[in-house]
Amino acid sequence: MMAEGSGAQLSDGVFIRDLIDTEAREVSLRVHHDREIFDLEMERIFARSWLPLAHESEIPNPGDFVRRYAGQDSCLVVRREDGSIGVMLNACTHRGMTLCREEKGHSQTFKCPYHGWAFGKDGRFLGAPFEKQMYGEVLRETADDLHLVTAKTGILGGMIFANWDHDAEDFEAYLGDFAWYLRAALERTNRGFEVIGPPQRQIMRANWKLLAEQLADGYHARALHESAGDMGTLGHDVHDPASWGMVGINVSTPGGHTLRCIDTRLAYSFAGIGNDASVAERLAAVPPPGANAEMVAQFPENLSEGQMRLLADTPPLVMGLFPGTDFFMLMSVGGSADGGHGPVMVARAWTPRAPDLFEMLTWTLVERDAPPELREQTRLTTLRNFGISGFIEQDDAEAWQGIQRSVQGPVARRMTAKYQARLGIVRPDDFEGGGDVYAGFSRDDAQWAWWKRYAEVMGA
Amino acid sequence: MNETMTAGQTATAFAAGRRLRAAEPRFLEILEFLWEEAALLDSDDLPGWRDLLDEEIRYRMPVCLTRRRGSGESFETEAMHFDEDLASLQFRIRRFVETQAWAADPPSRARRFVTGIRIWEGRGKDSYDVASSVLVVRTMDDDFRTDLVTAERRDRVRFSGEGAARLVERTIICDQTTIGTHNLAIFL
Repeated sequence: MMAEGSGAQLSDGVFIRDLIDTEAREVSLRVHHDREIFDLEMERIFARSWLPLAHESEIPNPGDFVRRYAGQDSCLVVRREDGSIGVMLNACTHRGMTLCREEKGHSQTFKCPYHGWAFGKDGRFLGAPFEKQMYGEVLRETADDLHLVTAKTGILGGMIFANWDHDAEDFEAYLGDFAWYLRAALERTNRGFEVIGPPQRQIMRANWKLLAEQLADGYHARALHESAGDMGTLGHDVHDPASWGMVGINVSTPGGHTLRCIDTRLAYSFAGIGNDASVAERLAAVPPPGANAEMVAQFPENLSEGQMRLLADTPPLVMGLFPGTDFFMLMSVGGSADGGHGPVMVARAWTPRAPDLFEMLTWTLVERDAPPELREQTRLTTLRNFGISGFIEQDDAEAWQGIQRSVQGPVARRMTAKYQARLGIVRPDDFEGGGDVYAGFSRDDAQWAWWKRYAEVMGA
Repeated sequence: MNETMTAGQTATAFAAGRRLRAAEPRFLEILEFLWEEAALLDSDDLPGWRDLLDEEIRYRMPVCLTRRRGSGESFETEAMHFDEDLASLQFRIRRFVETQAWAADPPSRARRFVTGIRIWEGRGKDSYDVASSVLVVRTMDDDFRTDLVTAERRDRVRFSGEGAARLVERTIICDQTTIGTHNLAIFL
């Protein structure tokens, strides 16, 4: 049904570009419904994009592996003999049988249960039982074509990303201007992050884009997270948008990555710190989520002055990478024992399963150097705010699933989602970060940039 | 830091005491306690449920994984879906009952089928180790499709001086490694 050159066309004649109105800044709700669009997304986006699969700390030793999905495809993330990391399709090159049947483990080789073909940690074809009797010399001659399908990999903040498309842009080009912000948040200390165990996984009865495009939406905090206000995490002054985290700096990049930074000087009422305090003083007095004063002392070794200022004044809250990743860092009172603020630090990934279903993965991030009390505080505050039982995320899921229910109806499907709240480029003086910067009230600019990228990769 | 305790080890430490016969009075009292608890949760009486919790309650649900037979590492000790004490459970209940928590208003309807109950004498006076299977059937809004969650529960139940049973500890070991419901805005 694709008419190449004139853009992607659906079987009823509608073009993808007809669904995304760049003049009016509106998106047809149909994009969350059609199987045809979903299949196109799997091919054009998920089979060709950088996707997060695991964290280095989940597989510390050679032979350690975890099994994950990259888009629709089951794959193995393996620590190889030389310490590097490989991502391979979890399907035997002989007949396509699932190679590895456990979700985590340690193995020197991977042997297919069906006929016994064996592969190394690097995905190389090693041999087959009764090889001579069965094949003579044939397999040896074609052994190079029998290695497991491998993806290329990239690492950020210890998270392992993979891309099946070896012709796709390399990882640094994919991150683009966004790397500066991500590294400020995720690679601020000498030893960096690890994760607390394997991720939580749950299903969500919604289209994956409803989560992905929401990452840059600051506007929903006041209504959807009203209870976070009532419980004291947000909105200490219900009439002040800044206290709801709705004021700060949003950023988008042409690659569709979106960032929301909240102005901590306005968002929280931390006692005893004047706004005239220096960057170093403010960071030491109120370390960013998950850090302590000793770690803050390491920041200058890893970050530029501009990155330090970003963390002190307008720290990244939601860092969304197109199409399937985000990192989230927040201070929340939810679930802390003493009623004080505790760190919420997650990496998330989502795997589309069907037009109205995606699977969600949530990892808890913690600094490797965190003392036991800080590690425990981070673990507990995070799981009580985010993930399957997290009280903030519980409410987000209502919006994703609620919209999905609407689009089941053909009339509602003809409606559009609207993104006309426009701030335009506002770049603060001496701001070092790149990309399109929107400082002020969190409007729709960055969210719209996500849709522009979506339209582009879908061939609209 | 993800060292896992084996299911075998936990079972030994967990159910080390004398096994109670199903006809013993204490067994029946604990059986009634579990029925009462499930009824309170099923009827969305969260403050009522809170009253069955001991001050020292630890309420946990580890992340589970598919592993090879004999690996003994089918659930994690640090990665959790729930890891709660009384204060955090009260926080959750207060959010549901007193604030505009969209995830639980209107509340989903969940029904807990508790069966396969085995009880052992536990550590300390009037303390019992209680294992059970739970089937939670959850219905949302007008959707006829239901979410199912099945789990083993390992509880410690203690009787107070006045003879009232209280839940001191619960570990929920879920059969699904990908949890088949969109959130845990419910208790299991």
